[in-house]
Amino acid sequence: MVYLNTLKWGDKYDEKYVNRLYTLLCRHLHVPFKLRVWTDNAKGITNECEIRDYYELEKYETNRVFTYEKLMLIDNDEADINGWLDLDIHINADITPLVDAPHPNITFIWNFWNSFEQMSLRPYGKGSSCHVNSSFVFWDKGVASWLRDFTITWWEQIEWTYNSLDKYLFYQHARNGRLSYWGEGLFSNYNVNGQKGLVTLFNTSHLYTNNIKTDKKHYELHETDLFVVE
Amino acid sequence: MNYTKPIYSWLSKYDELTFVACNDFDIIHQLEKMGIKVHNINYDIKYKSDPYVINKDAIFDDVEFHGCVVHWNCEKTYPIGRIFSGDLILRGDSQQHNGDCNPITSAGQLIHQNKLTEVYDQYQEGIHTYVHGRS
Repeated sequence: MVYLNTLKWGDKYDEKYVNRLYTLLCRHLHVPFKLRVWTDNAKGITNECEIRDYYELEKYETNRVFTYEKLMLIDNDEADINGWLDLDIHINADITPLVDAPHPNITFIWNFWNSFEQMSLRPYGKGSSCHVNSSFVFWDKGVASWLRDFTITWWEQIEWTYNSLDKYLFYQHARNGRLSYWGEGLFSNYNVNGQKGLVTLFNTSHLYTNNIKTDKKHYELHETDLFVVE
Repeated sequence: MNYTKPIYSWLSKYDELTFVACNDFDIIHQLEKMGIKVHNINYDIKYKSDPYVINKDAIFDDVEFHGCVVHWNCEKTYPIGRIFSGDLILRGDSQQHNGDCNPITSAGQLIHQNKLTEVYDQYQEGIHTYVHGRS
């Protein structure tokens, strides 16, 4: 059994996002799985999902380290294979090889769609870089404990320094080579290189958390043709 | 270096300094020319292969501080005074750049955040605030 987790809180994404994700998983994941939805509002979510209380993951009261709550899924009633998926992703093709493979370390997305030198290396010292994405993450039972433990031990410094989970992961753990990554070409960013690979992300939250103003239109999933899943 | 600025008289009082998060390497070289031993801790991975840089994060990594600690960009990190006890020279700006977790708007903020027990001097110059003290 694979435990897949997704977080739905507040009003940015509604139940349609959850139900379409479940439908896509049924279509593109060919191993037994359970989708656990950690939410503050289960209204309209298909009964096929297991509903969990979002506030169980809220270990800290903070408006920093956006989506740190994902890390509280680690060592939290784990199956042999565990994953978390953001709601605003589109699964294009069979992800079974990614999910069913061994994950000896917790595995994240490296933003291959952006130039590392231009987008992350050059501004690194400013603290504004981020080349890690946590929209599709998997780990085998027990192998990610180090990340949860580090986060709890260093929480005061982490909360002070980072406004998002991905930036924390990039500056503290990618820098020290502690993370594993999916291979190049498996993921795309709709707003950068369109719909490619096995999974397409929309990756708009950093625009809000970093208060980035841009002239370019960044699409949310529900603004595209990919949203409706038959 | 503009030696008329108070910070340079603060810096030149010490035989040994540890700079944190300083991207102005000219200042470091000038101080070294004056015979001051300078350690340069910088988390920027661009300096990974630079033999003159200790490429570590002064807050999160295991690092050694020597002499007076000079934090050149306090707006970018957790307060150094909370993990180091001794003489400190602190510099921060109020610009709120993307990546600044802690914009510095006053000397009082630096003194409080870094838990300084003694303040030797302080001043403001444009967007920058400078404090010399002890934690």
